[in-house]
Amino acid sequence: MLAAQVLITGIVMGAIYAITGAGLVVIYRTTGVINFAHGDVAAVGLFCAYGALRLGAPYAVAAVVAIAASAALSALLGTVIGSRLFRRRPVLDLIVLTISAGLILQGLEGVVVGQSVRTFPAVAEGGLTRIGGVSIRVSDVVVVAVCVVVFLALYLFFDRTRTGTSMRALNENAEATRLLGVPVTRLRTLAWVLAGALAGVAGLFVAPIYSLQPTSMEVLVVYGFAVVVAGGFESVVGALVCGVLVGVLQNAVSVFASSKLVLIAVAAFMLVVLAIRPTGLLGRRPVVRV
Amino acid sequence: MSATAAARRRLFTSRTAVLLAALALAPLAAELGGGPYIGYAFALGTAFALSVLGNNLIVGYLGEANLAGGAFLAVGAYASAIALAHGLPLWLAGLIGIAAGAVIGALLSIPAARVHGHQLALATLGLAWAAPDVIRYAEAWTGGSDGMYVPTSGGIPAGLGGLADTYVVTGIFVVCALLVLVALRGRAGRLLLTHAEAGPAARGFGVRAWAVAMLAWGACGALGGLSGVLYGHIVGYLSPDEFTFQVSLFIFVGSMVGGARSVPGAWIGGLLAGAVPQLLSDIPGGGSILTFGVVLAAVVALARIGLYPSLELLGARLRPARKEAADE
Repeated sequence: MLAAQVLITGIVMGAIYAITGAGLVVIYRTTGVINFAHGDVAAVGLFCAYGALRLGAPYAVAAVVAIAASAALSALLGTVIGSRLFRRRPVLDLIVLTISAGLILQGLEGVVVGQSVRTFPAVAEGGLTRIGGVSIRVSDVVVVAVCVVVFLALYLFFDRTRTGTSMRALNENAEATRLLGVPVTRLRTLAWVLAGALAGVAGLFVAPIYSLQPTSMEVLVVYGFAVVVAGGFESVVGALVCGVLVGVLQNAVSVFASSKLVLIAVAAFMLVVLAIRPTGLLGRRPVVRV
Repeated sequence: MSATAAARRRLFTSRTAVLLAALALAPLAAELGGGPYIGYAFALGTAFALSVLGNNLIVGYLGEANLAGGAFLAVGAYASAIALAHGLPLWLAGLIGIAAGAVIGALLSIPAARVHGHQLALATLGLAWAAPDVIRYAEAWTGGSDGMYVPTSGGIPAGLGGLADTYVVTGIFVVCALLVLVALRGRAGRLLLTHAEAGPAARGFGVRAWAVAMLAWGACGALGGLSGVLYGHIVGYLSPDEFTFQVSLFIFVGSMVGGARSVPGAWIGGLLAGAVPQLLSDIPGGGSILTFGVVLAAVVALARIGLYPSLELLGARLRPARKEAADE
C-alpha cells in the first residue's frame, strides 16, 4: 500500500517536473540556450501572485497573475539575451547570462520582499479522498489534469500549427528558416513567453509544497534539468516520461531511504541514463557528417 | 602554424612567468593595502583559483563544462578535515583530500567519456546539487547540518588566515600552476591538445578518448580537492550550507571569465569566484547576490572572449596606438 502511495505521489510530483522540463525544452529547441533563470522567473511571478492574494484577490486571479508575470519576465529575459549586444556570442556566454539573470532576480527578491518563508495556498483545498488505502487530494488530481492538458496542447501546437512547426524548423537550421521568411526573432520571443508561462504553472503547484522564498524555486531548475537531461533535450515526450520517473524515484528514495539521499539518487539516475543512452532516454542521436 | 601548434605556443610564455612572479607579490599588497579582511578574501580567492585551474582542463581541453566544481571542493575539504580529526598529520590529510577529489573526478570520467555538451554539464550540476544533502546525510562523519571545525594539526591553527597563510596558499597555487604548465608541455599535454584540437584525427592515431577523459577529470578532481583542503584550512569551519550549487556555478563562471587556457586567467577567475562573493557578503539581504549578478552580467557583456584574453587584446590594441602617438 505504501508502494502505491509512493507511486501516486511520485506521479503528481513528476507531472510538475514534466511541466518545468517542457518549458526548458521549448527554450532550448528554439534558441539553444539552457535557462538557469527558469525557477527565478517563476519565483517573481509567484511573489506577484502572493501580493495579489494579500490584496484579497481570489486564487484564480492570483494564478493568472503568476502565469502572466512569469511569461512577461521571461519574454524580457529572452529579449535581452537575443538582443544585438549578444547576437554573435557563443551559446555558452548566453548561458552564463541566464545564470547572472537568475542571481539578479534572486537578489532583487531578497531586497524587495526579504528572505522570510511564506506559505502559498494549494490550487484546491483539502478534499482528501481514499481509494483502497491510498489518499489522493483534489489538488493532486488538478495537477495531473493540468499536466495532461499542457502536454496535449504542446503536442498539437508543435505538430499541427504553422507557428509550432516553424519553431521546430528553427531548431534544425536557423539560417535556412530565416531565408524561408520565418520571423525568427518573434518566434524566439514567443518561445520565452511560452516557457515563462509554463514556469509560472509549475511554480503554482510547487509553491504550496516547498513554500515561497527567493531560493525555493531552485527546486524547479534542479528537477527540471534532471528531467530534460534524462529525457533527451529535444523531446517534449521525453520530459513527460522522465518527469514521472524522477518524481517516483524522488518519493521512493525519500520514503524508503532518506530525504537527504534524494538529490544524489537523481544525479546518479541522470549519469546512469546518460552512460547507457548518451542522448537521453528519448533523445535523437545526432547525425554527424564527417 | 596549425591550430595545435598555436595552442601549444600560447601555453607558456615569458609573460606568464612574469605574471606568476607578480602573483607572488600580490598577497603582500592585498594584506598591507587592504587589511586582514582583504587578505583573507584574497587567500580564499586564490584557493578557489585551484578549482578554476582544474575546471580549465575540462573546459579548455575537453571542450566540456564542469559544473561540479563545488562538489570536488567539498569532497577535498571534508576528506582532509575528517582525516585530521582522526589524528593524521597535516600533509597526509592534505594528500587524502587531493586523492578523494581525484577519485571522484576519475569516476565521473566514466560517463563523461561517452556523454557530451549540455547533457554532461547538467549531469555534473546534479552532483553539485546533491553535495550539501550528502554531507548532511553522512552526519556521523561530517557533523551534518551543524558543520564541523577543521582540527588544528602540527601547530598550524586552522581558520586564522593572516599573511603567512595567504603566502602558503599563493605559493601552492603557483607551484600547481607551474606543474600544470609543465605537464601540458609533456606527453599528457600533447594528448590533451591533439584531442582538443583534432579529436577524430587523434582517435585515428590511437589516442583513447576514455583515457584522455580520465586524465583530465582526475586532474580536475585532484586540483578541486586541493582547493577544498586549502579552503578548509583558511575558513577553519565546514558546513553544508557553504557548498551550495552556486559555488559550482561561480567556479565554472570563473574559468569562463578568466579564459579557459590561461593560468593568470584562472587566478583572476578564482578571485571572482571566491573573493568577490566573500567581499560582497557584508551587503545585507539579497544585495550581495544582486551585486554579483550585475558584476557577472557586466563581465559577460564587456569581455566576450574571456576577461584575461580580453585584457591581452586590449593591450595589443593600445600598443600600436601609443607608438603612433609617439611618432607624432
